[in-house]
Amino acid sequence: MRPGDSGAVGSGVGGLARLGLATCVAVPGVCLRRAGDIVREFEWVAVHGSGVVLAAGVCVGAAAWLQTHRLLAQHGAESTLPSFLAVAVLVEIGPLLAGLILAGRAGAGLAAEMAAMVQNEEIDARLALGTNVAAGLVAPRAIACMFAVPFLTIVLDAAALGGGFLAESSSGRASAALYWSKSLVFLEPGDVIPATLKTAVFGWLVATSACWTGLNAGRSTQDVGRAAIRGVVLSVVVVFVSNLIMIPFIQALPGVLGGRHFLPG
Amino acid sequence: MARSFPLRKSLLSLVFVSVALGMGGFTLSEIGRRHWRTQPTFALKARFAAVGGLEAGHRVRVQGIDAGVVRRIVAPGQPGAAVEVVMDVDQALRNLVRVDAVARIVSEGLVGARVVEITPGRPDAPALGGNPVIAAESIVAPSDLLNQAGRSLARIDEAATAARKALDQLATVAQAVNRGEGTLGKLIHDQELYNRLNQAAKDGDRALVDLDDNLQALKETWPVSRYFHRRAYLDRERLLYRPGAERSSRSLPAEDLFETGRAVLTPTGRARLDQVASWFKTVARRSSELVVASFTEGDPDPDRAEILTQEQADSVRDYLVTRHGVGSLGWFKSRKVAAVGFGAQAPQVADSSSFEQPPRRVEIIVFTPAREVR
Repeated sequence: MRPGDSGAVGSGVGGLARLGLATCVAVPGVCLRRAGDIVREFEWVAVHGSGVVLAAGVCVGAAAWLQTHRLLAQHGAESTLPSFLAVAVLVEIGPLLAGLILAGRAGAGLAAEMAAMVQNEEIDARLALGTNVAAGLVAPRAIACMFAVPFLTIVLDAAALGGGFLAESSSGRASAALYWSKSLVFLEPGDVIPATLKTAVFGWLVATSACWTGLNAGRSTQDVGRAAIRGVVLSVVVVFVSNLIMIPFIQALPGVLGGRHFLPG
Repeated sequence: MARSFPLRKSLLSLVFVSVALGMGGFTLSEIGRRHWRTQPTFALKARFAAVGGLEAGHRVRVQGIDAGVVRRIVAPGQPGAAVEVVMDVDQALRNLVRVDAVARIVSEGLVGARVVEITPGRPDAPALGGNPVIAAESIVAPSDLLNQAGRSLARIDEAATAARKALDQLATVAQAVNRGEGTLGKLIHDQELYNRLNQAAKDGDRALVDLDDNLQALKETWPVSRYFHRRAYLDRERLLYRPGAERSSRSLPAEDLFETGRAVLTPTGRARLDQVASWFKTVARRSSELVVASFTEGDPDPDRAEILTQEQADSVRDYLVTRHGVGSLGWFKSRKVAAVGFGAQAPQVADSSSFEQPPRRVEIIVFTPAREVR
C-alpha cells in the first residue's frame, strides 16, 4: 500500500493545504460541538507532555550554563551569564524546543493514530457516513496543540531558568537573589510575549501535518510505523521552517507590547 | 459518537493552565519591574549634544544605584539642536536629584552597554520642580580620547628631547671638568688650591668663635650689660632656670593688670603691683635677682603674641623699678631686673606649679642665691 490510498485527504503539498484550510473552516463549529474532544487532546498533549518538557528545560538550562560559564569566566564576564541565558531561553531556545518536543511526541502520536484509523478502515467508514474528517478528527487535535504549546513553552522556560540557577548554585558564585535580579534585565515584554505565542503556530502546523501524514498512510501494519516516522520528520521540519519564517514578522511588530522606542522630535 | 465531557481531564488541564499562567504572569511582572514599569517613578529629562548609542531601555543610575530606565529618546528637530533623553527615575530617589544634578552617559561591562549616570546635586540646592530637566555632560568619544592621548604623548616627547639636550650639555661640562679646564676643573684637580681653601675655612671658623666670645663678654660688661639684662636678650630659658638659687614668685592674671590685648597698666593692676612690691621687699636679699615673665595664649600669630607679652613684661618692670625702686641697690650698684615675654610658649624649665596657673599671666620671680638664704 502506498500513501494516499485511503483517499481520505489529498496527497502532496496541495492535499496538506486543503486539509489545513478545511481544518480552519471547521474550527468555530468544533469549538462549540466538540469541546470535550479538545479537552481530551489538550490534556494528553499538555498535562502528559509537561514531564518531558520540565526535564528538557532543566537539562538545557543547566547544560547551557555549564558550557558558557567556562568561556565567559575566561574573559571575566560570567556575571552577565544569567542575563544572556534568559535572553537565549525565553526568546529562542524555549519556544523552539517546546515545538520540537511537540513534534516528536504529538507528531508521532497523531500520525500513528490516523494511520491506524486508516488501517482499520475507520476513516473509510467516516467518509461513507459523510462525516467531515477535518472537522471530526484533525480540528480538535490542532486546536488542542495550538493552545497547549504556549503553556508548555512557559513551563520549559521556567525549568530552563531553574536549571541554570541549579548549575550556578553548584558551580558559580552568584546568590539566588543576584542571579534572579540579573536574569531578566535584557528582556522586554515585547520580546517574550511574541516568542511564546508563536509556538501556537507550531502546534497548529505540527497537528495538521502529522494528521495529514497519518491519513495518507497505507493500510499495512508497517505503514503505521512509517507514518509515525514521517509524521515526526515532517513536524520537525515544519517547526524549524515556520520558526525561521516568523522571525522577521515578529521583529517587525511595533512596540505595542513594550518593545523598544525611538521617537522622532 | 458523542462521548461524555471529560471532567477529570478538564480539571487536570485547568490546574496545568493555571500553574503555567501563574509562572508566565510572574515572569512578565518581574520583567516589567526590571524596566521600572510597575514601581512609582517620575519623568526626568536631560538634553545631550550626542547620546553615543544610548537607546530606550538602557539603565539609569543615581550615585551608582540602579534607579530607572531610559524611556525614550527624542531626536532633535533641527541640526545642531540637542537630543532629549526622557528617563523614568525611581520616585523614592527624587529627593536626591536636585536642580544642579548632572547626567552623563557612560559605558559598562564587556558588551559596552550604555548607562545614564546621574550625579546628585548639592544638599542645599533646590528640589526638582514639575517637568524637570537637568544638565547633561557631553560624552567623551573614544576618538577624542585618542586625540588627547596623542597630544599628551607629543608633549612628553618634547620634554624628553629638551631633557636629552640638557643632559648632553651637562655631559660636555663634566668632560671639561674631568680634563681640568675652567675654574671648577682647576679646583678639583689642584690639590694645593684645595688645601688653601680648607685652611681659609678653618681660619674663618676660628675667627667667628672668637668674635662670639668677644660679643658675649661685651654683653656682660657694664654698662652695656644693663641693656641686655633688662630686655632679657641673653639666654631666655636660662633666665627661669636657676638650679643654684631659691625661687619665690607671685603670679598675677593678665586681666588684673592690663586692659585686654594691651600693655597699659590699669589702676587695679597698679594696686596689685604695689602689693607685689611689698612682698618683694620682704623676700629679697641684696644679691636677689628679679625676673618679670609674661605669658599669653590663643593668639594665632606667635610673633604678635611675643611682642604683646614683651611689652607687658616691660610695663610691669618699669612700674616696679620707677615706682618702687626694686632695681636699686645703692649709689653704684643696681639689681638685675629682667623682663621677658614668652608669648604663647611657656619654656620647658618653668616651675611645675605654673601648670596650674592661668595661661594669660605675669609672673614676678625672685631668685636668691642659696648661699645668701642660709
